Amino acid sequence: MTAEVAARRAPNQLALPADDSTKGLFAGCMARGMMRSLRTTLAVLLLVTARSSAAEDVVVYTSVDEIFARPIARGFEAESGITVRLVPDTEETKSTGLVNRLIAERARPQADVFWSGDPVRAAVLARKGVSAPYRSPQADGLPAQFSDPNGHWTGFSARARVLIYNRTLVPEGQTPTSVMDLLAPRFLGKACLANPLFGTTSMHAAALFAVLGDDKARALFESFTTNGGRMLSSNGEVRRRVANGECAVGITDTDDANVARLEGKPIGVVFPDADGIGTLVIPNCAVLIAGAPHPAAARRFVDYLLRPETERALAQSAAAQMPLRAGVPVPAGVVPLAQLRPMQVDYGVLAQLLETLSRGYLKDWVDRANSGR
Amino acid sequence: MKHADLELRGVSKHYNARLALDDISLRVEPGDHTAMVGSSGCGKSTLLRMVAGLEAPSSGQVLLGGEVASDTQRIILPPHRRGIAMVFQDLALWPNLSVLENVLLGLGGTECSKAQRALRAIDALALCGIPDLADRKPGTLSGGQQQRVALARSLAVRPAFLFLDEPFAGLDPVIKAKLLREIMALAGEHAFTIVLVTHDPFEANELCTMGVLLDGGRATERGKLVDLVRESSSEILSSFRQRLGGWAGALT
Amino acid sequence: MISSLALERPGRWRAGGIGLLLGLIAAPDVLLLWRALGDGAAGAVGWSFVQAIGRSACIAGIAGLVGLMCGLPLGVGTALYRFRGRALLLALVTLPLLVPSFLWGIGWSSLAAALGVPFLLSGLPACVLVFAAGLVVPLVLLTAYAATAALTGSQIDAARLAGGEREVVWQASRNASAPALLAAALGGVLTLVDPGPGQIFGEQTAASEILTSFAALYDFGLAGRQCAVLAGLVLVGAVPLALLATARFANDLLAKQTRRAVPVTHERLAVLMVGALAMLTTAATILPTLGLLLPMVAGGPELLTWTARDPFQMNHPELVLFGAAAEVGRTAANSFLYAGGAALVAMLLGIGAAVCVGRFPRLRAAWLAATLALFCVPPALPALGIVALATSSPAWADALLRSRLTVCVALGLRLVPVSSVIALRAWASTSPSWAMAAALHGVPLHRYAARVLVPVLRPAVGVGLLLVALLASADIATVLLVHPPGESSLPLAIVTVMANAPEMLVSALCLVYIAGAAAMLGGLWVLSGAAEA
Repeated sequence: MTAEVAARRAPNQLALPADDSTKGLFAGCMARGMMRSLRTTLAVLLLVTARSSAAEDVVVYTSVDEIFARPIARGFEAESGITVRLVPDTEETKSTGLVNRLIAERARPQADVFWSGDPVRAAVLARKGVSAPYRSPQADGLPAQFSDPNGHWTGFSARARVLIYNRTLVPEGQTPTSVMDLLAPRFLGKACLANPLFGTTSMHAAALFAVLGDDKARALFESFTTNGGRMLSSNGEVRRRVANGECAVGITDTDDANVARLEGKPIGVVFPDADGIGTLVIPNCAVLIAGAPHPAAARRFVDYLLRPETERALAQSAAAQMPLRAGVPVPAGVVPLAQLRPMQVDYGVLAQLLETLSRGYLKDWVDRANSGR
Repeated sequence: MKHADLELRGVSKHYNARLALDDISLRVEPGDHTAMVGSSGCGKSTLLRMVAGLEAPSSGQVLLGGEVASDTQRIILPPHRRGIAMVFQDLALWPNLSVLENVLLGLGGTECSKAQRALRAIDALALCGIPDLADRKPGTLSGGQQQRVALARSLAVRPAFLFLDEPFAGLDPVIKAKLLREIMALAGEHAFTIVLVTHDPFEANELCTMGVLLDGGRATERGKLVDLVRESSSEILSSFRQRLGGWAGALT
Repeated sequence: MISSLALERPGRWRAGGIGLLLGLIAAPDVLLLWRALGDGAAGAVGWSFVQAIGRSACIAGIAGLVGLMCGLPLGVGTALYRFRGRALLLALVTLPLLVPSFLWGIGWSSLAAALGVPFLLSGLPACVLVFAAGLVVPLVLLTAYAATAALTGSQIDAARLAGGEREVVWQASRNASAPALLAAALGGVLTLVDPGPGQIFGEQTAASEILTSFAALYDFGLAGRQCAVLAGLVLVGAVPLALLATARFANDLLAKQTRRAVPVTHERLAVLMVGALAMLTTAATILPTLGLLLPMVAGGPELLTWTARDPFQMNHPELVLFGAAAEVGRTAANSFLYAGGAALVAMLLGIGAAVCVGRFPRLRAAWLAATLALFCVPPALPALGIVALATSSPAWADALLRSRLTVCVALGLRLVPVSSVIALRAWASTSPSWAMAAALHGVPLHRYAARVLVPVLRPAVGVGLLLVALLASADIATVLLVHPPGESSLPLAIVTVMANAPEMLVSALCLVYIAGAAAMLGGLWVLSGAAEA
């Protein structure tokens, strides 16, 4: 500040603002500020656009519950040194889902492998040209009936559709043994299942239509409604409601049932229709993505998934999944496949049947179930 | 920049279908402090904005010192090069800046050095009697103090013309009278010409010698203010006459 | 030199700018909609979808009305009056915006089951409760708060002199009514695209129909047509609403009136405000959180440990909360990045819209109507559009189209309607005479913007950034589809974990998430209060 300016200021005035301006000073400040902002913006842009690049990595999309898939992925990383970038899916009723992402990315995929929790999604991907055939050398010993004959997906470690019941509400002699028991008068208003448009319930519905025939299957669903059966949003919800006694009996998957068991909930589990149509077995499926960005690592991961050790690990985990291979040891509480009567279905046909049902009868049934509330 | 005079030739302004100004022609000579009077909505503020270069006329010309500053739908001379300063009706003080910063930013368009701007700003505050308010924000000042800040910002640029668009509304009479006297003194000292938009006959009488009556966007009467007030049959000037009636002797 | 008046003058650039911005926001939607409309059965959307639209419209309408009736007076009262716990209650009321609605739905459902009254919470009333308490009321409250806080001291004093506190509240409510109405409309539109509560409470909604088309049928064409129909209907409803709101959107601030209004103490009203906010917090946050936490408290101490058996090691018992904290640690940085980045993108575009719209009511109405219509498109559609664009682009574009930046942009584009309402309101509250004075004094546009406009708009922009960040963090659909592999966010991680995780882990994750969000919000409110002081 010049002496003249200082002299003219009143004694009680504070100092002139630091940027008491000239054109140049303002411009200078603006320029400095803009450079700072530009540097910061560039740094932030680099941060958000940067992708961690390991020496090698494999991208795995999975519809298997994250809590079960992540330990397997970690095991692969430890053994192979390849980083697994796992992308888990939400329940289908919560969001659009990864399958749509896979379909949209088809022309230039980000995923290397899709680890599906059921064959229907794998079949959809095969039909839409998203998957590539791959017959892994590690697939030896896995029954062919649980895999795609063209090699687009290979089945391993399965869940099953089971009946669960609340032990405090259902006395020992009245436990359900068949899906038909959901229609029994003793379970009037106390039976539940998940929305048959989504997930494994949709697959189970298609299987019932395939095995029972159109008329009987429709009669089953109609009677379920007439018997006061409740449609819930998910298998997890079925588990919760049966566990807390709001429902007496429900139909869900073995991993849901096992989680409830480990939590100490008072539920019993039944593999239905052992003397009849059998229990629907739902294998995990390993799918190699066509045009995968890391094909070698993708094949290694698929091989890893199909090993007997992985089946053993999934059997021992809280998922309690049944190995499809004979001879893989299972812990107590996991029913081996040999002790089940699997429902005889063609999974590829189920996928197509499901598409028709989802646009037709099942959609109509769900709409009526919702509006009947 | 000083100009000899200010002239409007056939200036009209349309806003869509509405005619705000209709073929205005008038001249303001240096030193002829002029009052623009008229009912609300007759186009007074629009006229000021047109002359200041803030809006372009739909047709006609604005001349400053004989040179065309605005033409039909064109602003030829930018507002800050016209030697015109304006105290707006709502004062238009920048609320986040202190009083001194308001004046300094207002000097941004002048070709002065940093030191010169600082000097001018401090001088302007002193002229308006508010040097000790330099670091206050406008929101913390009284109405009269805000008026002075707006005035200081306008005077700092040393204008040839000072436009006052009803800036004294809401001030108490004592403060207003004081301000008016000070503005007159400043006008004489620094040789700028006042153009005042007002409804108040006392303000007009205190500051101005010339008058223009606007009615429905047209300049219907112009001339010496005292003559207009004495002789006009228009409603507004008649009311001036009545209100100044007890002060008729003050009309010069 | 660009004149400061450039931002005040009419011109073709305004319509051009609006067109450009709308094009940018709509581009991801258009990509898929174009394919969908050209795909086979044009116009076919299914009768059940038409019925579902009716139900969704009911839910949206009732939730919007409840939101307006509760949120407007609460927002106005919180801005006008000082009372104990104001910052804390405001933070708690805002908290539900952070969390996906279906979590609150699960909480309520769980609580009702525990109390033995599940029949009380089902269907349309339950959906309205979750949406109103968890979304629309907080949205309207925040907007009304911001609008009232922008009033000047002169305006409040004038009302007080005219008719006491009743007049103050009345005039402040009138002032805030237009932005609050728009916020209620935005909230209503958000309910149209959220399938969560409908799925949980068994209510057939348009959003669940669209979700079915995506997730059960994998039919982009059908989903796209349904989205187009929904957007068209919303546009028809949005035009009159936008015109109505535009007329009273904001009163240009007289440049003289720059004294900020200061909240005053009023004992009786303070008691009323505390009670009302506490009730809202209880309904929106505390009760459903209790429902979410029940599994943690229901069992004995042994249930607090979860034995996770790693396939290659011996059994390792892990504390549930430790596991939850690890999940938080893995995803926290991305969560903040996505929320903050989205807020930045949305506010920049919102401010751009406000500059282009200016003070022209027709442009304002057109913008509001168009963005409301775009807002009702479910997030999956634009997200898949971005995925499709990235797929068809060369690999060098991945840094822009397949990165975390993409997530920020995708979320930000989606939330421009919210940011633009706030930005429009803030712009309309500035005085055009400031620009005139700047032009008269030769202040160039960039200097005027930097020295005057930006500082004046900063508080409103801050509120907008916060609100958009909150809403962005609750969006899992977009993040699921667009995030780079391995770069998940915490809300998404919770949703992907919860399918078969033990309830305690899910509860612990929810608890950690909600507590973290509450702490962040509380800190922000305290900071903003300190800044005001």
